[in-house]
Amino acid sequence: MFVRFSILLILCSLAFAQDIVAPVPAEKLIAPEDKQSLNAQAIEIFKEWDKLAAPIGRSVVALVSGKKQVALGTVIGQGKVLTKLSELKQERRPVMLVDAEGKIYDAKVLFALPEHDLILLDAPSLKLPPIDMESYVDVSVGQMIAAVSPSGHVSDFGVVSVAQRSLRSEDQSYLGIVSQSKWTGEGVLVAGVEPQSGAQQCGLQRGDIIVSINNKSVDGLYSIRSAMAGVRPGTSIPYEVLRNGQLIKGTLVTSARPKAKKFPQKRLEQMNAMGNRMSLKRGEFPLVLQSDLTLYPERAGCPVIDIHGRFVGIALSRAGRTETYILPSWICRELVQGVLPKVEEYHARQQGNFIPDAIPVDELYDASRLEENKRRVEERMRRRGLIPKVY
Amino acid sequence: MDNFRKKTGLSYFVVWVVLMFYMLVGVSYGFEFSMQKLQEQVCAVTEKVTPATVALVAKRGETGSGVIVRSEGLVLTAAHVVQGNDTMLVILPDGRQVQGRVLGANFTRDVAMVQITEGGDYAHVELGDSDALKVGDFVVALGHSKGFDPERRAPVRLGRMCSGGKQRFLITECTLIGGDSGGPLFNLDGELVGIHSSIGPHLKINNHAPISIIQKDWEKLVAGQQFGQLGLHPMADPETPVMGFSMMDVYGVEGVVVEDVVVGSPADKAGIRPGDVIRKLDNHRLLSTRDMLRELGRFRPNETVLLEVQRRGVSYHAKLTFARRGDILSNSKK
Repeated sequence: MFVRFSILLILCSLAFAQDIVAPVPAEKLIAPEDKQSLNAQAIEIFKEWDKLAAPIGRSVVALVSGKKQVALGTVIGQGKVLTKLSELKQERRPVMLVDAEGKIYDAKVLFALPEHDLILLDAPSLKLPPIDMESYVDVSVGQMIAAVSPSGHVSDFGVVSVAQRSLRSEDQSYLGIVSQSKWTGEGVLVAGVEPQSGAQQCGLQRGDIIVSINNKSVDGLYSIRSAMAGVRPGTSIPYEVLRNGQLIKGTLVTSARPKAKKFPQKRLEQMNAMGNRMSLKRGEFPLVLQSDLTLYPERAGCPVIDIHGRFVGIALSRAGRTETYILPSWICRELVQGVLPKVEEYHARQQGNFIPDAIPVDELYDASRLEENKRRVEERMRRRGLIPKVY
Repeated sequence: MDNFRKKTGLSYFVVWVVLMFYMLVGVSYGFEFSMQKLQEQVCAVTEKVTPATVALVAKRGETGSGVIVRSEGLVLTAAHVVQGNDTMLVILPDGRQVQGRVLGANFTRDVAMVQITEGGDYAHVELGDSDALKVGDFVVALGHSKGFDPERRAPVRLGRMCSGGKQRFLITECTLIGGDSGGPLFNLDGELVGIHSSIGPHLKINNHAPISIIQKDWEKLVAGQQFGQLGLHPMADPETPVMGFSMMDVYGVEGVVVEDVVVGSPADKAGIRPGDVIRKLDNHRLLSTRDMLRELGRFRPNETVLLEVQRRGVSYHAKLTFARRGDILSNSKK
């Protein structure tokens, strides 16, 4: 049933917000006076945020292509910038590294971190102060956070909607049973066991009634999944089953959840796109915070702060109408402290040592393009007197 | 003597300055936005209401959200979530699933009730006063976006009221998506003020049914009465306020032009005649019929408003008490 169940979950349509016949067009639904007072209030709130964002704003740069901003970048070390991978990768025109004053810097791609959809740039002449990784902070659900632009302004704020979690199915525990959905008694009646699953290896059989998993009593598939939430695959967890009226206790080792095929949900996509633009990579992140703050795709890669101006993480992706994903600050710190020295070591030796979480850029991204075309564009822009717009 | 007067004058002046200072400081403190306080409130609300925010699954698999408002397991949700179902599967935040029986529903206003049939002491929330909400007030939305997900709790969203609390539908900045329908909207005290209903083509247009409509129809809904119609044009709802005249836009005229007046209607009683131009409604300027339709959303039947009417270039004021649309329609049929 787990297979069937996951398919069912995806196939099932959601009770969608209905369309109400409105006599007034949406943009006119809010009265002009109300709009005015909302704007005045917003200006006051953003003033407060801007005071907090000013120090960290000096560590933000923009990646610009032509006159269009592609992404923002966060300075994490001397001349080292973390920015978005997929947005830069798909940009056909040359991309430039620009600071808030419109100054263009030479940059070289060091490494890509495709899991997190990040890329690490090296700009030796960039003298902006790096973000203080030591004073990082963990945030909990309900806390207010804001995204910071290169100018030191806050582009939007919101709350932490969901605590940090993995969005990848392979990080979730999987039992591997098919349940009898008609069963109304206590526990979950097993109608079948999947081969090579944790359930099969511990000897669960058709006809067993699962009473508890991981010391939590269960009454259906939702509660089985809830009981295993947060348990890494490969962990052994206790279980209790009723077999022929006898209570059997044991432990089983969970396996990783197989990737479920996603069926396109046209209506959901439509709702996600209403008044909204989204990033290219919107899922499969190994560890993210979820927030409701509005982040336009060209602003991803910027730092996020809390209400004391402390570094919370890097904004990764605008994934829908309600979701923005943020890489937590402690992972950023691990990347900087763990990967950066190894990257330097790799470049010093020029040989393919194994670097955790990072892969050489050449396989993935045409790094030379950045450098080749940069000067040409810079020349052209200087001649025309254009200063890239950074926001 | 002169000196004394001067002195007293000065001391009065000093007292006056001190008073002014305190007043100004006091006023500015009153309006100051405290992020720390707002954050504390949002966190407190989240902790309080998350255990009561449930997911509802219909027989055919559609999922929505709901909120428990009584310890016996009475759930409030949106009418379009329960539409066509006698029972709903209620999934509690810890993944436990219980059966729910669909009670009443007001389809026009998109609210419904579900009773969990397995008795128990359920975590629940208190009802608040949606009428008291003002434009700019912060509110908190929860809901099982895109369906129940055991890997996360119901996502929390923060936003401001973009409409007053007496509107037909509350408009907020709390972004909603499929699966949130029927989920709860709270004020900063953690009291339920709305039920998620629909979204507009803009991030700032998220519509919630005000809790006042459920409080008004409480007995009917508990008794299992289902009435109204989904997606009904708001102007066809018998509960909407009416003035009793038909209106039109005339090119070049700033205001709403009265086309015809229903005999015996509030407009008739207020002395409004065909050809009059309504310029203002309770000091809100009206430029077109669209503005009038929007402004009407702020009021209920039996409320009184002040109209600024222009007749042949002369402005005058008229007091008008709204009637119920249903009453006017039945009158006009006679």
